[in-house]
Amino acid sequence: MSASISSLIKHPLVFRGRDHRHTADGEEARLPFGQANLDKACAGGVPAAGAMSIRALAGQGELQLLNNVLLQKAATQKRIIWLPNPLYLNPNWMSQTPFQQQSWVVNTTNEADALWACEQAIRSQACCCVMMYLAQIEPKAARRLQVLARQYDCLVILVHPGHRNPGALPVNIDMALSFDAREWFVHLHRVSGAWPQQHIAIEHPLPASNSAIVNAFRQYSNSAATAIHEVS
Amino acid sequence: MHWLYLHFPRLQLDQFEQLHPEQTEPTVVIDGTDNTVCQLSAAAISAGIKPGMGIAEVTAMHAQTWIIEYSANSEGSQLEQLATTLYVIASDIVCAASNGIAINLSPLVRYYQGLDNFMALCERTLAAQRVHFQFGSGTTIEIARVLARSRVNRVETEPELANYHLKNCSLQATELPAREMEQLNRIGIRTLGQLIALPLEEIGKRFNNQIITYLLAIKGVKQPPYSLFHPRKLFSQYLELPYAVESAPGLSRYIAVVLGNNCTYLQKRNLATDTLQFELQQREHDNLVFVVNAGTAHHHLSEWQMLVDLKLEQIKLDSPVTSLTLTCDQLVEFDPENLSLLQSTYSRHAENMLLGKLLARLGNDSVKTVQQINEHRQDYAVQQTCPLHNSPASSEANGQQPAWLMVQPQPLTEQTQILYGPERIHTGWWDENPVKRDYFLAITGKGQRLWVYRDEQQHWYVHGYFG
Repeated sequence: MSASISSLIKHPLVFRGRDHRHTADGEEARLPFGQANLDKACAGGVPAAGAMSIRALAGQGELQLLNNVLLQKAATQKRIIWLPNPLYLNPNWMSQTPFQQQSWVVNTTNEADALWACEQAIRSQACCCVMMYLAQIEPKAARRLQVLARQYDCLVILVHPGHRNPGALPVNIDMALSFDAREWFVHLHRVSGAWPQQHIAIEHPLPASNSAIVNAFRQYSNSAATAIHEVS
Repeated sequence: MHWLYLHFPRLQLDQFEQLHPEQTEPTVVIDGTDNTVCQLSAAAISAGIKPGMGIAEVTAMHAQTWIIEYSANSEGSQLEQLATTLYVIASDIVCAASNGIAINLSPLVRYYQGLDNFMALCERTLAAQRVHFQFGSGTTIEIARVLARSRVNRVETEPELANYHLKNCSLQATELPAREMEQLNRIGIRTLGQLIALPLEEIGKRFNNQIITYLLAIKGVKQPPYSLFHPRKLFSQYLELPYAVESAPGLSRYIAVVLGNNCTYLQKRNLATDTLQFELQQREHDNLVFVVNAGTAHHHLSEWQMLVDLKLEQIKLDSPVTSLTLTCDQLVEFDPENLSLLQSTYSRHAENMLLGKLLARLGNDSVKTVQQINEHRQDYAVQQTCPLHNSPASSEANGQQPAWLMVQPQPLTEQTQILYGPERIHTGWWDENPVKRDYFLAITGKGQRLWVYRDEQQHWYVHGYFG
């Protein structure tokens, strides 16, 4: 009898107030980035419900950093909403991702509409994640999304340059991506459940490079037997 | 045959009071043909206004009186709506006049096991519609109509009792033309009893056949033919607004009324729709037609109201709207999903509701899925398809490509370092858009990973960003 009840209450769709959004040991469910240093600094990863902010310029690789998080959220089979601005999602890139079929791209003409669409997506309970690109986000709007996202068990990821937000935003995680010569760092302005930290080194490889060819040429040119083929 | 006649003396005023329950000032409906009061509210009666008064007299008695112009179209539409509502509880219905409905009681006596049961249900149904009505009954529709207009408000099962009431009725309650009524008045005939007592042969010498036919019906000898009412297979309702509305959001409270009727219509027939068409009659411009789509077919009033409100926020009127029409002609059988408590797949209903909201507020092409296409020219690859029409995606990979594309490639203006490339794209020579480009992955000093290309003229452009 107790075994059958135990199996029932462990079912992920059975709601238990005291366990809401928490794991069996009482901790809030978190989704790891897959980067040891960063996950440690974030107390295990991104809280599964709520808002997070990434301060990054276009092309700094925010999606690469979030890949593991997005894959975990996509496992729920709910919708992932993309609110891009002002760029377009590349269909060829999207088709290579496992969450293509559950993604919707919502095109808006202004940020007020984008915020409205984000709120509707959260409230609908049909979405597991909202990826929102903004030029800036007001702390008040971020707080509103944070409260809604926690209430409706949705992950909202706000990507913005961050120039106009000197203070930490009232969200679960407020982080900035930065590049220093050869290394990538994450600066955590705010983390729920942990202290802010600066300069957390992360692995952030390029999607492709000519390093294999360069290395091959270097090795080829250093070989005495093949010196005749040295290229200038 | 035993007919019940329901007379609605102030349909247009009833509708106004439903739309504006906050209105406490005297309100009258003016007949545009002779500019006299034909319907008046309780507040107007208290202010001393009487039927038949002219506009000047009305405004002299109470300067703040609300005046509405009579609209036969509006009353006709309301009457049809009432007949549709009554059709649920009665089968043989006749829309006998612009403000009256006749119901054949004969088949209902057995069905409801007594007329009292049916009348209780009928009064309850009409009370829910919040309309004022008077009723009477008789062996023909004409008898029942005269009794209803005379406010008898009783259903007599015995014909003798009905005749007794009928004889005391004034000629004003009949359908006799004003000229003939005046002639009868002059010779001292003022009640229907006096008229019925006259021999038909004598009346036939002085009046035409229409009067004879009417009197035969009043005597219960012969019922003129009427066609029975059948509800429309598609929902359509016209609503005359009490006054012209200048802003689209201001139409919401009026649309709510027709929307409520539409949802009730659908629910009672187990139907649903995903498309509603509205036509707004503008005072100085052509009619404005707009369509509201939902993500899925349903008949929930609150959901439709929200979608319509979102749509109204986007609409700009050219001139004030005087009336509106709702048409719902794309009907499907309502088929709700049944999901078990622990089923892992979530309800698609929530998803469809979200889609409907987004489409209503942001436009019909605002929500899309991204599908790969067989095209190496990325300028043409930005093709997104509507989620309502999913198509299978191609699985063909297309080299190293960034997550984000620019709408138009922009000239490269900052210093970058090339880390990967080139990948040459040389295609489109068969059409008018040939492309010959060498694509590279380049990085800026801030770590931005750009997708850049060099064209045949050795010019450099940024085409996208690696996310």
